[in-house]
Amino acid sequence: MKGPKLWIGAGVVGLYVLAAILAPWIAPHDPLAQDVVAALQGPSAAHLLGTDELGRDQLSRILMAARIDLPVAALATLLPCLLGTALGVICGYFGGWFDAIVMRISDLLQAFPMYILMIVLVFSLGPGVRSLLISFTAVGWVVYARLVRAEVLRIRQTEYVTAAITAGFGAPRVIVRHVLPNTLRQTLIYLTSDLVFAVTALAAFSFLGFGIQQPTPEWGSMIAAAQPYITTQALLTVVPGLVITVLALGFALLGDALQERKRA
Amino acid sequence: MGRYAFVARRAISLIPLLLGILFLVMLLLSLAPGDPARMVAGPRAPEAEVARIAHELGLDQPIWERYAHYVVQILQGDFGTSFKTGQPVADQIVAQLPVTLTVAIAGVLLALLVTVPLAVLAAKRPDGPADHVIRVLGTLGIGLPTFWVAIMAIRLIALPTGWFPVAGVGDGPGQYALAMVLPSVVVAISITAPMIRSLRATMIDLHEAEFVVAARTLGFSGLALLRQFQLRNAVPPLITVTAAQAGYALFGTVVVEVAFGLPGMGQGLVVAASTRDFPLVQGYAIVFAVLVVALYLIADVINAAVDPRVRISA
Repeated sequence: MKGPKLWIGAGVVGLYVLAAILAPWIAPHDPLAQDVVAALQGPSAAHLLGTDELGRDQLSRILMAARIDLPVAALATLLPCLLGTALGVICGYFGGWFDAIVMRISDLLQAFPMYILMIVLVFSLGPGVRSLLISFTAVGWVVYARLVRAEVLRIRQTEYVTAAITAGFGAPRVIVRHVLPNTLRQTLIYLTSDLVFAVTALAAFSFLGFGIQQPTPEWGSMIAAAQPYITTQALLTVVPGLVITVLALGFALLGDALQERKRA
Repeated sequence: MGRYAFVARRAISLIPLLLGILFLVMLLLSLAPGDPARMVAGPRAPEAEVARIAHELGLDQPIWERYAHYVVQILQGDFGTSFKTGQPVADQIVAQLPVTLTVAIAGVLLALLVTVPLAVLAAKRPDGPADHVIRVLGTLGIGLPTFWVAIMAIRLIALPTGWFPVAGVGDGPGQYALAMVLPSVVVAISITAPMIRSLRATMIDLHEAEFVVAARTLGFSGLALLRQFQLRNAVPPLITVTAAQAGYALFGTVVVEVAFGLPGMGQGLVVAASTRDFPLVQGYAIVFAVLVVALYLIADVINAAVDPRVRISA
């Protein structure tokens, strides 16, 4: 069971990354080119997935959207991971008042309904990639910080860390060489499952109108724009949704595989 | 500690958290660009008028004074008035609360209804065929974007059958109840997978617990063993994960309300945010936060009722 999960997950994600890189060359049309006369057409030889409400080629938009959704979702997990790891290491290694303050803040943030906090933040900062990344980071670091802090507290008790400190190595070297590498495995497992969340949440925010704005192609906002035509051109809603689901499943399978590998 | 004393103590301990949440909401909203007073006055109003409105709204005071003022106001049930409609924020939220609560609560109950039998079935033979099927369904449940599932439910179920209202809540209690069905199911789909995963793990652990082995030695088996020994002890972790997922369900309702066009708090929040109606956004954020905190309290109380050890050690 372990093998296929890892390979299917990696294969799916790899395919999406490839599509994102090659999109400008393999997209049959300009994703922004409007042709109102040819709006809301079904699939044809010229437009394999049909056209949207402004006559833009749906396939080209889906492909080009990968260049937005993938990197933004990746950053939306990497940034919180970096901030959380940095804070978690400092808190776990040094403890003291800084640890106390950071942990109280994380208590408060964890008690807060995460999405509402993110909507309020995006509202304050205005829609767009920058506000999305800020709100993902402001909310998402908490889990990473707690995870890393707990790991650091455990690792700090180990003999090899005691030995490194006794040998006279300073805190920076002990942290970078001995503590941090041993927290990475846990963080990576969480990061993969966090990507599932980032992909679907990013699309959800754009669907609600808080995320990536039209005319930039993005899967969530494409679904929002196509919802009024659900009875006439259902494909416009169905395909972007499937595209999001398959990517999320790819990350979910990867996460499962890493988790199981850790246990084995 | 008695049952009531425990509840009271837990409730009191949540007050600082609520104050912190209030402050955080105010702080975040104060980051927003644009002058709220200018928005109320309109783009062509004279400066003096804008200054007067700013004073009226208390915007010329330092943030901590506004905070103290706001806390006192909220304790009196006054959330201010909407910039756009001039209506009290509290009235609008109270009118929308039932829809959101119905969808969220029905969603959580449905999720529980599905979780218990499936998790028990999966845990019965770990790595057996049922376990595999349930795990695949779980992974699928995590990957599906909730808003898309909602739209698909409209397209594939509501529209062809014509049984459910597809925009709004319809007329009369019968239509209202029908309008809640699909949104609740979609919310349930979005939260069930982690609950099954957690309960399955708990049940597998409980198979080997000493008291279960002892009960089995004494001749307990089947449903009696399950009900009297295993499920009882599986309740506290199930409550914990359910509370976490219920918080998530509240966001699910935001997305689902927008997709189904339901007049709930979620849709209200999205509309308020897109029209930049500060007092409304602030009110929604606070009520949502209070709901989540209330959820923790309820989870604590249920845990204490089921497991006396919680009360004694607290």
